[in-house]
Amino acid sequence: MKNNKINQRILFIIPNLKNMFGGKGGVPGHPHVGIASLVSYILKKAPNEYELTVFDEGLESDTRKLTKKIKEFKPTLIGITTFSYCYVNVLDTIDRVYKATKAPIVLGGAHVSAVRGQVLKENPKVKYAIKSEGEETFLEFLSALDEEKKDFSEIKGLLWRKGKRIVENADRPLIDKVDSLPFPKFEFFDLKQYPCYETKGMPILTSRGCPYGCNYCSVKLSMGRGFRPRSPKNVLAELTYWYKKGYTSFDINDDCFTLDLDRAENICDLIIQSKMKINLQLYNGIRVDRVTPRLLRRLKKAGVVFIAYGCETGNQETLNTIKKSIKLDQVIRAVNWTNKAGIKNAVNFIIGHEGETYDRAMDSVRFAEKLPTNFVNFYNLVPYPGTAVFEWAKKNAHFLVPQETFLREISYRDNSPIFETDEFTKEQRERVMKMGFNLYEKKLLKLRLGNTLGSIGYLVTRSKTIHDLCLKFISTRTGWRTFVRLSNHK
Amino acid sequence: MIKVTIGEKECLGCGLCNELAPEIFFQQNDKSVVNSNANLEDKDNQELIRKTVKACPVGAIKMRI
Repeated sequence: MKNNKINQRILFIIPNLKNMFGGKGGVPGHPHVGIASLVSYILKKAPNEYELTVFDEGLESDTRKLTKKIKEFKPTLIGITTFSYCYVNVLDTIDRVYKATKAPIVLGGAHVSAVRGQVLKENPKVKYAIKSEGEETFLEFLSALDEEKKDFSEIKGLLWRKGKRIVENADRPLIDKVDSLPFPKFEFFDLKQYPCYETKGMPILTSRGCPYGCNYCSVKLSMGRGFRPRSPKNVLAELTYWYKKGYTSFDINDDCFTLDLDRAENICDLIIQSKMKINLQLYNGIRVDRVTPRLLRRLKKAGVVFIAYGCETGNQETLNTIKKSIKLDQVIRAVNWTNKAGIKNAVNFIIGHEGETYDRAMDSVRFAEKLPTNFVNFYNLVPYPGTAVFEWAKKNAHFLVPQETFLREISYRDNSPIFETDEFTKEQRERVMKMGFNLYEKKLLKLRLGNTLGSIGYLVTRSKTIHDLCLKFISTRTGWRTFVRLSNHK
Repeated sequence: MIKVTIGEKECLGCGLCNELAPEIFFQQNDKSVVNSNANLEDKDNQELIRKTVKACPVGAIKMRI
């Protein structure tokens, strides 16, 4: 502490997200991991120097509450996390914040890493943005503000305005020693407001980064391609911390949890030895070529109850084009091994890949239908700026929405293709996606509600009116909590 | 004399080395291999290889001088 006084009063805001069916207003299942990590880092490195608070818009249906919070807290700095998915909500939040306070706004999160300077260009109300990992950059930026500096050129990772010019500083090297980071401070949030409080579930990130070069993926833009694992001991310490507080269910949100098979096995072994009775889910997806029957048995014994796999397409040629570096028979093999290990599983697909045709996309639907997995996810391809597929689309496809604004309008859950090609038209894309989304809903309902009730639920919800009513119900707090409770694979 | 090897068993075929040093590594049958025509004595190339050795997520690339 430099002078025994609070230097900044910082309000972190998490804008609204859509729910898992693409409808408005899903209550977040748990506190935001990125903000919880950032808060934890600031509190560790600069205790008592800053007054921090958080406002999660997903918990509040009344938008006036944000204005009230700003009036009460009187922040000197506003931090807003951004995501390309639902970016339109971020813009709405910025507008409301700007009307309520003149405190400068700093944006962070995945979207900034994807579009970089563009984010300041299209948001004149925003003064600063932080790309890639935010911990070190944010703290350095705060120190510069404390010292009332006007020039921020030395702060790696920062984007700022120098007069009328937008300046993008050099990239900051990614944090190598991830074990040195404090655990995300989820207690900083009002935990009781989140469904995870009832389900006693917490997210956990055991590694950062993914080395693979999939052409559609934007993770490397924010987390880099180096694989930065936490040690098994460090992972166990975080699990134990929450277990002692009564939490028994954990979502492993890594991008490549099983990249290092030995590390993954060691984490399992430590959990088994600890005798903690927990369950773990891998919704974020792991690679089909990074599992073995031995690892799956260990995962099961450690408490893993659900695994999602990234397949992305049911056509081998497309798999090669998108540089996924897997074979279709590896997908079938991984699903069979997972079933044999007694772990529920899902396989993820994307429609609209580089060079995809109607027939190739239909291969995905046919492949997904036949897979003996519990459910399948279908996503609309979003060509995130900075990815190879975006560059390909710019040269080879016809954008159906302006390139500058598609992230505001369309998300991976919408049945609205962002571009079309001569080989795969808009109408064909919509048709395949509709089939994929139907398959997703059918298998999901069966998994959550059981075969009979799930099948009835699926048939009933084919009526648009009932379908819309169900989505409306899910977007309510009670509805979402009910759905999350059903999602708990105990 | 510089020798660069890639452990075939360890290599994940993620293609990271190929992207970092396309003159030195390429992909073949879902694995990375060293380009036999690459000039390994070149100082810039050696620096690139060192970076790649460090970046390989499974430590499959070895460089011996």
